[in-house]
Amino acid sequence: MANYQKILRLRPEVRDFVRNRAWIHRGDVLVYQPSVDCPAFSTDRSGFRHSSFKGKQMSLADCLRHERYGLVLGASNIYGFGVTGNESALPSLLAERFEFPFANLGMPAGNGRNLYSLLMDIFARAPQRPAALVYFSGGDYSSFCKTSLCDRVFGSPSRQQVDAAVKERGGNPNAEAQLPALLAFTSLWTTAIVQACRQRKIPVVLGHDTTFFEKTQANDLERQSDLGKAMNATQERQFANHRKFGEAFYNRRRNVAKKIDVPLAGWGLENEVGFIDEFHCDREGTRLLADSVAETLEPLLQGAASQPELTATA
Amino acid sequence: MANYQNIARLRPEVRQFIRNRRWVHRGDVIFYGPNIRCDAFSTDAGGFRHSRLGEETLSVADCVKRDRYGLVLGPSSVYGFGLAGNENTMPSLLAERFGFPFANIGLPEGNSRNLFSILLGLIARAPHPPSAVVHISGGDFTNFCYTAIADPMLGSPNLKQIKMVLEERGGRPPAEQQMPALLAFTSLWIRAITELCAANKVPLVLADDTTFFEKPEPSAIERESELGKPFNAAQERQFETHKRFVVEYHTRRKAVAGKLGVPLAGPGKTNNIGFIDEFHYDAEGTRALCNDFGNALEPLLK
Repeated sequence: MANYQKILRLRPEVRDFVRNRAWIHRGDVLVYQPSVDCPAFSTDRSGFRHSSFKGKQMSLADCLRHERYGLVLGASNIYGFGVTGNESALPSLLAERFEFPFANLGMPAGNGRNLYSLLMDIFARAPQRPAALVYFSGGDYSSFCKTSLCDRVFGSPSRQQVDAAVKERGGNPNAEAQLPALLAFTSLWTTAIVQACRQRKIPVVLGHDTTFFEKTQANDLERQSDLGKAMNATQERQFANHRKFGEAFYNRRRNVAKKIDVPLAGWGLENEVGFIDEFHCDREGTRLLADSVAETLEPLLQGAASQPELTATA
Repeated sequence: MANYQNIARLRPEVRQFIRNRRWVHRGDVIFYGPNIRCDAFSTDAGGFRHSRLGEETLSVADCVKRDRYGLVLGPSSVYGFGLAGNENTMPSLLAERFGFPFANIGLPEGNSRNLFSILLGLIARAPHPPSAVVHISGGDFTNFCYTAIADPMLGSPNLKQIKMVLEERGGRPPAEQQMPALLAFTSLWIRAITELCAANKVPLVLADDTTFFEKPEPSAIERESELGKPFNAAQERQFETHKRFVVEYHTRRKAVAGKLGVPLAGPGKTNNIGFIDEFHYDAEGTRALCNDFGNALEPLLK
């Protein structure tokens, strides 16, 4: 991604993320390295980035023990790759605003199916159901753009599986032919996540996360970082996919939200958000997105608070 | 597994399964190769083995277009590895009994989370929900026995990830430490499948599937095939893990089925059915199991 030499010179704080970037498997899924502790960020025993609440670092387990907590499901942009300080990641900003903790459930290229699994696990084991859920489906799209591969039920292979998957198919597939599967995949799991929340009367908001490729004008820092400039053949294909299929993916996201009648936060912000690299918002961009999510979530929380039975345990 | 040279000599039809064994990724999940056609079996465009109803050979897509259809979810024993003739597999035998098609949703080491995903996709997209589902969760356990690794939410790594995962962990963890995670995993996703079926009013039977290791006395052909005898260190570990934890696994599955109020059908901890290798039933063994599944399903369909 991007020109990381330049990014590191311009944003030295990103070094900690590059140095400590490691993935491990849980089952057949990639997660971040657990128990990382460095000046820029930290992760809990399950590999989720700590969120911050009233000055305390909160693991997922800490959040689940709270009587009232929220969840933010998403990919590395929600984890907050490159955003220094756990308190600056999106879940912490929501916690600051609503005065209850939000767990950071950002997984590497986290897709709808794996995030749904995480949600099912929490529903089954947590003493209380969450008070709010925010879901970002950008991982579905970015994984597809990286691999040009997608299955209607299982999505795209992870970065560790992609070489094998391409080899099995005798070379890089035609992304155009795979796009309908991506759209079917993202619709299936977005709907499943929303329905699972509705069944449990949990207020849910979809987040409209975008990338640098949707910006019509780069800012100075983004230009100096050479964002959008492919550095090798793989990136060339990946970036071309982003530019080619963004409209189809985002329109599908909006249509799914409309169809299942769930609010979509952040639509129309794509030009205002600043980026560290092509896929990860900077601190101000993160705050902008968090503010939009909070404004959308607030009336749902007020509605839930006026119905006492909705605060009962799961 | 087993002594495949002996097996291939004693059961020549198994050669075709070995020759045509191909795994393909769909997302991070391993499937059988699509569109295989040989004398012993065939697969559809999704890599699922065809099932039969009367003279018809049916893909999953064919089945779900019907007004009435069933699904059999499970690992390679459902696919019917080594079992010649699509008409001899579990879904075809259930179709023969009930008079409507059953789709073969058998994946290599198919675990309950991945099978849940397929079920969710089918229910969301098919014109009608299935009329019956049989879920065989034995893949959760056999996959664990290969790797000795499990996560309570995401299960065990797939067949192509094992090497990578062991490198990440600097070796193999003690299986007994991982066993609670396996039990949590299988409980979570059996429950999810049950709840999904209940929400859609789909009759469900859970299968108490079994392996050669639970058999008190091998048959003559099983003895000649040297079933149960490991041929390398990996198999030794796998077989040991299986024998050591199988009772715990079966006990948990029974408890989960009881708690959920879902019928659990099959021989359970001991069996007297026939096997091709340690994990795959022969034609008579498959028929015996399907009788149990059918008997449990029948009252639910009335």
